[in-house]
Amino acid sequence: MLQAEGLVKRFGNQNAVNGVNLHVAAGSVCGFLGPNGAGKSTTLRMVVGVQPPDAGTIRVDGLDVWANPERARGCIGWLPERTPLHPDARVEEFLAWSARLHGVASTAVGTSVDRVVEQCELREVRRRACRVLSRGYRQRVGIAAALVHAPRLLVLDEPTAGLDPAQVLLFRSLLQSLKGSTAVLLSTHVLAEVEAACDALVVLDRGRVVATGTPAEVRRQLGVSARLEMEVNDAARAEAALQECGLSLARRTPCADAPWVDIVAEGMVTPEVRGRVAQALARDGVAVRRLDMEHGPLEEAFRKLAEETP
Amino acid sequence: MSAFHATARREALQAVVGGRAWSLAIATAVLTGLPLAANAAARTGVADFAPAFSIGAWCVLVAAALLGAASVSSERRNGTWDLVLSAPERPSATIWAKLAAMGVSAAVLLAGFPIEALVESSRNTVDWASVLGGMLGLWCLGVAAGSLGIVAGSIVRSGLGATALALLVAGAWVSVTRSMQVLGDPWSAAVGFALDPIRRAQEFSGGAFDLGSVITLLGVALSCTWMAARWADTERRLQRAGSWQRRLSSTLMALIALVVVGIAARGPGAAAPRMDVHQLLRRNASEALQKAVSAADAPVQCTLLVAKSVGDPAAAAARSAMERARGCADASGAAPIIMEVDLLAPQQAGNAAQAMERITASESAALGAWNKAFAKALATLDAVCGAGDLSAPLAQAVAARPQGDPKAAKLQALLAALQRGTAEGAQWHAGFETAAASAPERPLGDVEGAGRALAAELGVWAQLLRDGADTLGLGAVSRELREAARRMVTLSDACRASQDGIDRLPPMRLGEVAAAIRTPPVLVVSTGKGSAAIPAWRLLEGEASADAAMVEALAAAQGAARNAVVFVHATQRSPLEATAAGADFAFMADALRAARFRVEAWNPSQAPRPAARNAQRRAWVVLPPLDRRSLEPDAAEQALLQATHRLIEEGESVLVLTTPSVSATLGMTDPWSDVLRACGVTARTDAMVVQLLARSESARELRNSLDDVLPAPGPLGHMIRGRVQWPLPMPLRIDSAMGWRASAVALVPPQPSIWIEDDPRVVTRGVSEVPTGKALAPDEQVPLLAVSESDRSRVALSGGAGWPMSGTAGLADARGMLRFPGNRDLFVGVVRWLVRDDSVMQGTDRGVAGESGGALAVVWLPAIVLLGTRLGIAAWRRRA
Repeated sequence: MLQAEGLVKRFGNQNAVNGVNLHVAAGSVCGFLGPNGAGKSTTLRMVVGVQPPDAGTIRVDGLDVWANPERARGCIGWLPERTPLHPDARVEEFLAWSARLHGVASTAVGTSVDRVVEQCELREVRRRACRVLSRGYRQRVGIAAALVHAPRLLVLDEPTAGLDPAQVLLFRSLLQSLKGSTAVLLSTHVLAEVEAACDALVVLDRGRVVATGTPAEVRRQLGVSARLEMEVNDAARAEAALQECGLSLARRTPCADAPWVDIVAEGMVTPEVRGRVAQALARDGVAVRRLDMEHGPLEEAFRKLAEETP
Repeated sequence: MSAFHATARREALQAVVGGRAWSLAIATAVLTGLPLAANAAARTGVADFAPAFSIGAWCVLVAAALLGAASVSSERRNGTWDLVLSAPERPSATIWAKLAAMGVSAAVLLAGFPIEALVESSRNTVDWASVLGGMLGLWCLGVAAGSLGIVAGSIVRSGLGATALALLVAGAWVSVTRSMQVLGDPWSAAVGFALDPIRRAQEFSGGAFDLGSVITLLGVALSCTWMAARWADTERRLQRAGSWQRRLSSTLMALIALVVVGIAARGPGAAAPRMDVHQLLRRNASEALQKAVSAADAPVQCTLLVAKSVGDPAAAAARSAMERARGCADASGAAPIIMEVDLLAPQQAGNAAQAMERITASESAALGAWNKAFAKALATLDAVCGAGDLSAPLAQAVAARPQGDPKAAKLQALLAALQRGTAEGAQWHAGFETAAASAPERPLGDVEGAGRALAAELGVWAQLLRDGADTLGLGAVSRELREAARRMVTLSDACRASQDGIDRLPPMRLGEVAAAIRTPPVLVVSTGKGSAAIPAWRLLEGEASADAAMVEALAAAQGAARNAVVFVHATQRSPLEATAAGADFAFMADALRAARFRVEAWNPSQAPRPAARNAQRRAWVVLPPLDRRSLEPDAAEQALLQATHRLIEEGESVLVLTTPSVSATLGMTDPWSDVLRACGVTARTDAMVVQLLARSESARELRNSLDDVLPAPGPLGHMIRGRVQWPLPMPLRIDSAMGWRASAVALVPPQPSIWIEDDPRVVTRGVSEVPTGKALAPDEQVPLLAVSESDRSRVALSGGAGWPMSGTAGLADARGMLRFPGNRDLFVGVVRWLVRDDSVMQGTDRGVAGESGGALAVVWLPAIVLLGTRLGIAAWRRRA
């Protein structure tokens, strides 16, 4: 759906984006990661056609965004980092404006608005003025506005920033519902969101892509190992199960309520590996009080990237 | 086009239901209501919206620029501009949509004007065509100023910066075009005038639809928006090569386009077609006007002469009257010819000449006679001035007479006059010719005035020559002297014949028209028989009154007899002659002439009573001496007093303007205070109505004049329509008198700060508090002007003579509008009542008490209505 090749953007002498390649398959969700100032928003603005690249090409559904802007932009839905809203307009008026702006026929505007109101669960607030909405609702209205013309590529810049957990879950379910029909390019700092929803990741640092692929591949590329934390009642058998799944013991600490032991394991920890560990512990009759996959290493990679960024 | 529709629809809805445009509309309504409220006190008869539109132009210029800037900058602030940039269509579609929505916003800004007009219509006549035209002009200005704001919003990203830039550009637009107008170069002045936004908008306020101004203002709007659209389109490609060049080129092209459009549409030599909005709102003429036009000899022509009539309510009322007349048919079945000529517009010189030719043609018969008599009189003057050869025999005769002989003195005077005539005769000839000929400031010429002056000159010569001949003696011994005496007699007879030839001519109305057009706006009505001028103020009292004035003018042009007003006085100088101090009745005489009265002056001590000349009725205005400090009346005053008593006894209609007297202080009776006692009205000429005004918390000022009077209840009070200034007011007393019905016309306003003071020391020295027990009771009615009627005659008495004088009644403000039009209307009204024209008593009642409330209503009612509308919209949206 989206093929961006060799994107370059300079601001003065500084290269904000330097040779970025992006590929998002139709119907897939691609996470776009990177520390602040990595060039994510600039890249997204180039993708949606707001800011022209100094070099490189961007094709959406085979159409060059800058050579054939009218048709290519019609395929894109965009939620910028700061949710755009008309404060005095009602939610449905704003959605209708967005629909017309993106070329939805007048006769279909009402249907399109109804669809996204249902999709984003905005029924309660559809006749309210945008300025009185909570932050969560504002974000949902922004997403609805990006979806109202049924784009084939949805570009979301920090969509869950400021949302409460319930709204994050709602957003994730929305992403799940879009999977298969709409390609999503998702820029976020919430790594759990990436783990949960993204089929692929692109990590940007100082304008360059430093890692790309599935989350596990990215973790590997970034040279960080995942950790598995658990509380079990039999440390010896648990260590055996971990060895069996290719993980090594990093730390073992007895809990206050014996015989429970807190164990931390390192290695290629993925959701699949965690599943295999759980199965092995169950098979061996080890009682498990907690079994968490820790994302610390990816965050650590982020931290490292941020520290290296001047 | 979907982006255009989406944004235009949203912005228009926002303008109607949003708060920003309504807030600015309320502010505009309050500011534009202020001059209307101030003018409401003046009560000119027709609501003057020109100052309101003038202030409104500035308000709209600023408000629309702010709205335009905000419409773009708010998109950036809300982040929706990014959505516009990422939309399939170009951002320029959104920019053009904002211009379209500015039309709605500009209309909202003007929402206060119709409400103000409605409020005004409750007490003054509203020229709706002027209101409509003015609003159209301001709307065009609003759209143009809004486009400036859109440009500013497109150029500057910050909202504050965009607002500042919009105001800066709007200010620069006005100041640059205004500066061009004062540079001195005619071309740059014309271009500056063409592009001046305020002047473009004001072109409409007289009720004219000025197509050139519409094109100019909308051209500015289109070119500026095109520039903003180019800036918006290039924003997506700003970092690409050539974007800044494109922006620069579009800016230059927009500037060039707006200048070219302005010059082409309204610049030097532009056609500038105008359509009178009155045509769209034309009503039928009254039946009386239709009859008068159909009875008039063809061709009937109405010519409105104006001088920079922009926003002049009198000119607007005149246009309205002309449009109504156009719906009538004259004796030949044709519609009257309508013309409007701006006497100060050089490009209309051709039209002006054509109009003057037509007016002159209407008086062609009388004019021919006047020209002939004038030429003959000039030839006589030339003959007298050419009689230099008489000097020698005269000098010989003078030398022959002993020194100190009175006859020698007469001959000496004639000799000096002849010598002066020989030396300066050519200049005199040229002077009279110039006075008779037309000139830019006197387009109709004044052969009648010049002829009358020449006749007076020849009369003097006739007497001098006759006296010289008599002194020289026809039986003189010397043949040379006998011959000289004979020639003097011949010349004297020729002078007398020429003088009689002019004096016998009927007065020509062209002279009256010529006098009237010196103070435009004036409506000149011409028929096949003659012309008559209607000063525009006579058209200000509404359509019925304007139609009546047109009927009067048509009758006058057809040669109808006029009522007469005679100012009876006891002074050497005629009270009809203007004086520098304004202590004269010249202004009122002009007003009476404009109201179709023949005006004369009569001093009973110097001349017999003037005979009636085709006058239907006569009114006598008696003017006692202004300064009556002597104990006994002098001979002239005695003669005036006797003449007044005789007029009253004979049943003539008399208005006596009393003046203050010190007689009572000296224990004597003022004969003028009782002059109308038999008619039931007397004046307290020994007392004065005074008022204590607070200048500050501590300072107070005692004034012996009133800034307004209270109309008496009943039909006579309707004569008071405009604001009245009454200097030196003296109270009147109304008593019962056998066979007379006396009633008040104007009363002293019963205010606690006003009282009647009979102690002259108080008036001269002043006081700081109202004397105890002297303040007027709230229900106390003290007449200042009263009338009395019997079956046979009508009389009126005024407590003061200053209010109709030129120094008070003719006082005008900076715009040339009368400050106290009520003085003129009241005086003319009383005189018309005296000649039994009872139409002056029709009208709407009004009270001084309601005036301030009405004035405030013009300011606050529109604001309250607009605020209510806004709150209603908000409540409706919240409930929905």
